[in-house]
Amino acid sequence: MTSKRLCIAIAVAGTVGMHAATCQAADAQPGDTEAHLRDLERKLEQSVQRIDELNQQVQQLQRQLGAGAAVPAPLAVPGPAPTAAPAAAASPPPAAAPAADSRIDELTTQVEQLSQSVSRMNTDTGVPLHGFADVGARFYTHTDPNSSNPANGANEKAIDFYLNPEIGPRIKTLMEIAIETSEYDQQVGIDMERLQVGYVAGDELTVWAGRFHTPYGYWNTAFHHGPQIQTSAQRPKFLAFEDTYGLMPAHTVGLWATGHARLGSGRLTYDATVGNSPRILTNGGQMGTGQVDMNLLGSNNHSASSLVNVGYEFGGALDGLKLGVDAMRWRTTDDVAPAPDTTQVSFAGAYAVYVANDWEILNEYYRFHDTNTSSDGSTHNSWAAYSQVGYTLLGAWTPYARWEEAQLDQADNYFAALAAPIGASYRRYVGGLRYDLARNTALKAEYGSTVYHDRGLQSYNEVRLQIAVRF
Amino acid sequence: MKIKPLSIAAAAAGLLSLALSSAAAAGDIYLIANHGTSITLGDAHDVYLGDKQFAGSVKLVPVDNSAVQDAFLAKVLKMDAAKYGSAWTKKSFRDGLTPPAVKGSDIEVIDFVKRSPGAVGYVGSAPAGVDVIGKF
Repeated sequence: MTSKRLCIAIAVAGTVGMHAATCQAADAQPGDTEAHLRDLERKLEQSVQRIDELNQQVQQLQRQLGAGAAVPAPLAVPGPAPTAAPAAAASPPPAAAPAADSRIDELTTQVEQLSQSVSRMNTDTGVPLHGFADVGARFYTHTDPNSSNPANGANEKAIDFYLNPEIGPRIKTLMEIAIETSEYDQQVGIDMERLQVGYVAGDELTVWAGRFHTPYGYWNTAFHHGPQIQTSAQRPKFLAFEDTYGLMPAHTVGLWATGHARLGSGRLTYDATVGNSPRILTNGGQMGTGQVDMNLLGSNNHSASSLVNVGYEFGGALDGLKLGVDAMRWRTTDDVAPAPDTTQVSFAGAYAVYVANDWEILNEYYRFHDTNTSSDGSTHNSWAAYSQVGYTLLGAWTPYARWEEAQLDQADNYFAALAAPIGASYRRYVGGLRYDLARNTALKAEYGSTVYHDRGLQSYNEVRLQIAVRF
Repeated sequence: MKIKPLSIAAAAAGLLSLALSSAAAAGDIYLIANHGTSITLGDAHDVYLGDKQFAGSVKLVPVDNSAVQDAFLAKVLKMDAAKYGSAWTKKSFRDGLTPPAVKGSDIEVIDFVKRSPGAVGYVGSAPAGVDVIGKF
């Protein structure tokens, strides 16, 4: 914008501002109005004097430049009294007043047109692409290539891209692709983490279809593949992804209804899903070598998983607190040779999280009640839980600590079919420090101690370093 | 470059008037909406954190105003820009929502709100020509 146009823009904005100031002065109490008007008059006198000084300076400059053209009279600024007019300035002739009004109208129109054109400039830069990436290193006191502590050293962990183009006012999409290096077989894999299309009926209901993060508990949907937005370097072990030795279906392919509604000072939230039942894929049909697989292209045993999660987000004095309960059930068939097993898996859980005032307190509990339907029909109970506390100091430093534990009945075919690092009972303590180097960059140092309770795995301690970014 | 006295005088008067109006309304944030958009002042918190996407059947389109954003965040959302950005990152990542577009001035916000159904914005001085929902 040129200097002249800038002056015009400021002038018209100022005219509007002066009008606003006058109106506000008029709205004030009578006792204050007089004092306010006197103050306005004083400031106006000062401004008129300054305008005349500027006018004289410009005239001198033009004489120096030899412009030779007639200098127009200065703009007549509305003032309270004739005594405010400084002696040095020539009063504008009566014929100039209508001309000044006309000029102001022209300037107003120009500024409005300019602002509209700036506002309507095409700022469409396409669909924004966001994501996360993390690199780091981990060191174990004991390594086991067949377990969750395979090797020491630096690692390029993952880069995760996501985009959410809005197809229409009620249609939205979410697409996420992750390129990850497995810590266990050191293979680089590309994974379609999410591909979901949603219809927004209103704040109370959105229906998604596709592949999505299974909405149990809190952690799985809040953080998922976003290491920069989660405080710790690692997820709780039993909540790991299917391909990183998790024992629960972190992803579902199917339908997801979600929404919320105001209830008192807070909000009631809900999630309900129905999708393909996950399966267990073993290594050559061997029992105890399996991993959870979400059955991307349909259920291998013609059964569906179902989930319900209901929560309440408090408002008012308890703003930041969320309590909820959830339950999920599915029927898993593994590929153990010679006779695959089918297990009816179900869990019920509860969670309590508080994220406010620099505190982050996360708690989740899951109680499994499974039935070996294809063998002896026996039922088995197991549980898994974690509790994590973190507090942010000075806006950037977050020390945190976590306890997590899973006590899994090894007679339960579901856990028995899983590989030892996945299906073994364990307890882990984690402590760490996160430093927010920048708004979108976190440095983390974390110590963990893992003790296995069955499956013959050796316990180990570890140190993890992580640099996590989001973009 | 010739600078006409008329322009200088107008600019000086304008700057003074801006200062006067700012002094008179220091700290006020006005919530505005496109004509016919049914929201209340209390909805601002939910609208700007992505928890309220609709007013009846109208899809809400909130926009931020970089000129007074810090004041708005502190007064209405009780957070700073870093926490606001983090909240929207989580919202975008979890729920597929798009954060509000950022306009550069009151004039841009007012123009956008006037012509966009469902638009909601906030400005630092009392606006004309748009529905003013209320003042913080």
